[in-house]
Amino acid sequence: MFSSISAWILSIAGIICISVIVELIMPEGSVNKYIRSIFSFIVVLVIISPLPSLIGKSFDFSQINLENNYTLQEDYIFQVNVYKTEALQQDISLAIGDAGYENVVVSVSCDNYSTDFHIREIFVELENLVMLDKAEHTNIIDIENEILELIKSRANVEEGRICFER
Amino acid sequence: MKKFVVFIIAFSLILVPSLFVTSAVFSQPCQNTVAVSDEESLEQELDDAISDQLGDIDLSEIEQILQNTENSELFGGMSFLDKVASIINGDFAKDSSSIWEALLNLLLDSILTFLPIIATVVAVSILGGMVQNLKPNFGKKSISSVIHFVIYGVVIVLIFTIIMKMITLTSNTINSLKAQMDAIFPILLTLLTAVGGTVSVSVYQPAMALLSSFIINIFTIVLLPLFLISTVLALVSNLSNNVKLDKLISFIHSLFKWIVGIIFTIFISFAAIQGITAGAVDGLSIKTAKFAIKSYLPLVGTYISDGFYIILASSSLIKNAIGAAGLLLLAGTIISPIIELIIFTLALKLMAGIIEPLGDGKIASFVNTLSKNMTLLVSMVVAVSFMYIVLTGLVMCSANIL
Repeated sequence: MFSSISAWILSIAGIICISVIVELIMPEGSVNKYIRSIFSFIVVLVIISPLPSLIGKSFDFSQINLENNYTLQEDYIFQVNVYKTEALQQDISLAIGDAGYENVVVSVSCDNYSTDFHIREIFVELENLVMLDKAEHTNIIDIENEILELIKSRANVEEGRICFER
Repeated sequence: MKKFVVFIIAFSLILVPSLFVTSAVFSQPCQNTVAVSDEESLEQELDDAISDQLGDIDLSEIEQILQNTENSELFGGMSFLDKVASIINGDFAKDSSSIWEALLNLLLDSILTFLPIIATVVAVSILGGMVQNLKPNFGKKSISSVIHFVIYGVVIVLIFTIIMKMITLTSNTINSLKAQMDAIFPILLTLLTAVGGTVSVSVYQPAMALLSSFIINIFTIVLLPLFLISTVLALVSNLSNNVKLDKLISFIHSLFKWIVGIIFTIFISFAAIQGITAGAVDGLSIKTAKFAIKSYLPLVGTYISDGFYIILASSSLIKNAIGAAGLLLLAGTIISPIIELIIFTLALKLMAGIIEPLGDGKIASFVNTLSKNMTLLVSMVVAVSFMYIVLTGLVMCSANIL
């Protein structure tokens, strides 16, 4: 496609150069203007010559490559997911501590290798639970419910994914 | 009215990128409703998170590109990572005076490189014109034609040495823009994913691929040859008196302009509309989570700082800073070619103006047509870099949820 375009341009340039040279070496006379008009005619022919071949021709655009997919930096995403998990874990433990329950071990398990941050499960160990004075509930089921609410408000997970160990 | 609209657009184009950076930098600490005493510790926490994450991200490719760039004045000898860190801290341009100085030097340098060529071309063509005017009457018309050819040949050789240089300059610039895109875009997409903008990533990934492969290919495979064609036609058209190709040249000019305009409009409008929509979706999905927290927790004080959102905020800050630093690198790359191209265009116009009264009319019109052609090269570089700027700006402004 592009070689034919350059051939077209070169032929236009060539025919004009020839006409100029002929004009230079031609003696003056009445034939002169006829030869000029003949050369103009040839130039027009050269310019329009590629147009008929354009009709009905299908172009090959396969040279233009569209497959350029950028790969994400998986390492970085993994690392940020790890940071997020740790931060979430810390947030939840802090909130539970503020509510008056100490020695509660919270561990968040996330799908760190995926690009979007998914929480798989949240484990809450209540084995060494210590209740402070400000704790609202004393019953273990009430405490679980309160912790469940706390976690749900923070982590946006379904109830079934939060596990308690007593 | 029209002027007003243009002014608004230009103003917003200038202002918006800087707004992204500053708002991103300053809004983060204030939005968290924290007691005053905790603000410092929060800032400290944010700083720690940012430096942790900056250490994790792989910037080696872009650092290499920065080292190969000649005009790194805008970076002031810093590495890319240092620049990103300093942008996060808020000093976007530490010494603007040195940037202006570098720019002025660049301008003077390019003027000085083109001065000898201008002088030679003007001298040759004026000399030729004087010879043609003052020659003894040989009685033959062909003598003056031969003189015209000789002068025309000299002028062509002189000007084409520079035009060839300009063509390689343009294609090199576009290729280095492509290299920068290939280095920056994966990083931006990674950071956008880390912030949580998965919908935005699915929109921007194909747009970026389209820009860096398809559009750049069209620019180098279709538009650069069109420029060459119109240059050759301009040369040939002024060779003889009776065959004129001005209309064919103007056809190729308008073909070029239509191609650039259509690509530009379609790309920008699609990227902007889709990107803004996707950014809004991402912002909403993360904001709902945040509001849920606020409504559930009634008391101030029970809720000191939110580590999870600090991680997100620092990713978002890094994303914006890397985008800004990438734009700075882009500016450093395109500014010298654009100045050179513009100065050369003006120099050609000046030559045509000087030659016209004394010298040959055809040479003047040839030089004038060439100067019109050179604007095509300028518009190529500007269009590619503008699409790059818009895309990076969109990525910077999307998923800024915090």
